[in-house]
Amino acid sequence: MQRDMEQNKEDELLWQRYRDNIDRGAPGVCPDANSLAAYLEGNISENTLREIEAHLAGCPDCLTALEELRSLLDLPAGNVPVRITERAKELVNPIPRPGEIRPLSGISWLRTVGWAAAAACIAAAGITGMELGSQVVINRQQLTKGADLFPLTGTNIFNLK
Amino acid sequence: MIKERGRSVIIGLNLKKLVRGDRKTWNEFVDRFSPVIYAAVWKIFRTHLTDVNDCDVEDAVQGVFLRLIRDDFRLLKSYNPRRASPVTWLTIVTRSTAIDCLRRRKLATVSLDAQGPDISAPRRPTGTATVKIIPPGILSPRQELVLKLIFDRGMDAGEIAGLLGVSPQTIRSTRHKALVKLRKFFSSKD
Repeated sequence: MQRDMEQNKEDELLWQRYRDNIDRGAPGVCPDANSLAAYLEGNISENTLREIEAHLAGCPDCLTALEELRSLLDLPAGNVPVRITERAKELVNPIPRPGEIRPLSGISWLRTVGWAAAAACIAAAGITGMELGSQVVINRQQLTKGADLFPLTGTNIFNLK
Repeated sequence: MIKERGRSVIIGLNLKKLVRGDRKTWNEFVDRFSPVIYAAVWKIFRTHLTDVNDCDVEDAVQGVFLRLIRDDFRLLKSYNPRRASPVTWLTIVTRSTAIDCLRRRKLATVSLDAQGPDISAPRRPTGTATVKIIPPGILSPRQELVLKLIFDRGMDAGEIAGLLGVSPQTIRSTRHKALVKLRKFFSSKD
C-alpha cells in the first residue's frame, strides 16, 4: 500500500515534469460541432482522433465541454410543454392568424402573382376541357418552370403541391 | 441516418426540405428533437444556476431553434449526417447556446469560464509561447490526455474510459505505457 502510494507520487512527479516542460505549441483550432459529434460517437478516423485528443490535452475549455456533453448524452428526453414546441414551430413559415394582413415583399409579390397566374391557367384549361369534352393535359414542364422562377420559400398562399 | 437516392434523411426527415424552410418538415423536426434540447437546457441550467426559471429555459430552447435557422438555416445546413447522429450534434449546439444564454444574462453562480468549442467558427487560442525543453512526440496525444486526466483532474480509469469512449483496461494500459516512456526519456536525460 505504502509502496503503491510512493510509486503513484513518483508517477505524478514524472507527469508534472513532462507537463511543465513539453513544447506543445498552440493547441490548434477547437473542433467544430460535426467533428466533436463524430468523436463522441466513435465514428472517426485514427488521424482525426489523434488530432482531437491532442487538442483536448491542451485545451481545458474543450475538455470541460467534453465532460459535460457525455453527461448530457445520457439524459432521458424531457416532456416538453406544448407552448415551447408551438413557439418553435412558428419560426418557420408561420400561418397567418385570422384577420392578419401581412404585406408582401417584392419577391413574395412576384411569387404570389406567378402562382395566381398558374392557377388561373389551370382553371381555364379545365373549364375549356370540360366544354370541349376532351381530356385536358397540363404542360408539366411549364408548370415546373413556373415553380423554379417563383420558388416557394415564403408564405404559401397557394398550395399547389 | 438513412441515405437514399442521394438525399440525406434524419430518421425519416428530409434534410434538404428542412433547410429550405418546408413548414411540415420543420414541425416534425421540432416535435422530434425538442425533448432532447429541452432536457439538455434544463440540465445545463441546473448545473450552472442555483435557481432555474421556466421562462429562462423556454427562452434558451427557443434560442437553440433560432440559432439553427438564422441566416437561411446556416447552422443546420452545416450539419453532416454522415458523421454523427442528429441527437449528438444537437446536444452540442444546445450546450453552446445555453452557455451563451447564461453568459449574457450574467446569472451564473458557478464559473462559466469553460465555454467549450465555438460551433460557429473555428478559433485559435491566444497566448504567449514560453521556452520548453521537451520536444513533442514523446507521448502520443492519448497518452498525454490520459495522464492529464489522472493527475491534473484526479479522474479514475473508469471515469476516463467513459469520457474517451474506451474501456477502463485501455486506460490502464495507456497509463502504464505512457509512464514507461517518461521514465525512459528522463533517465536518458538525467
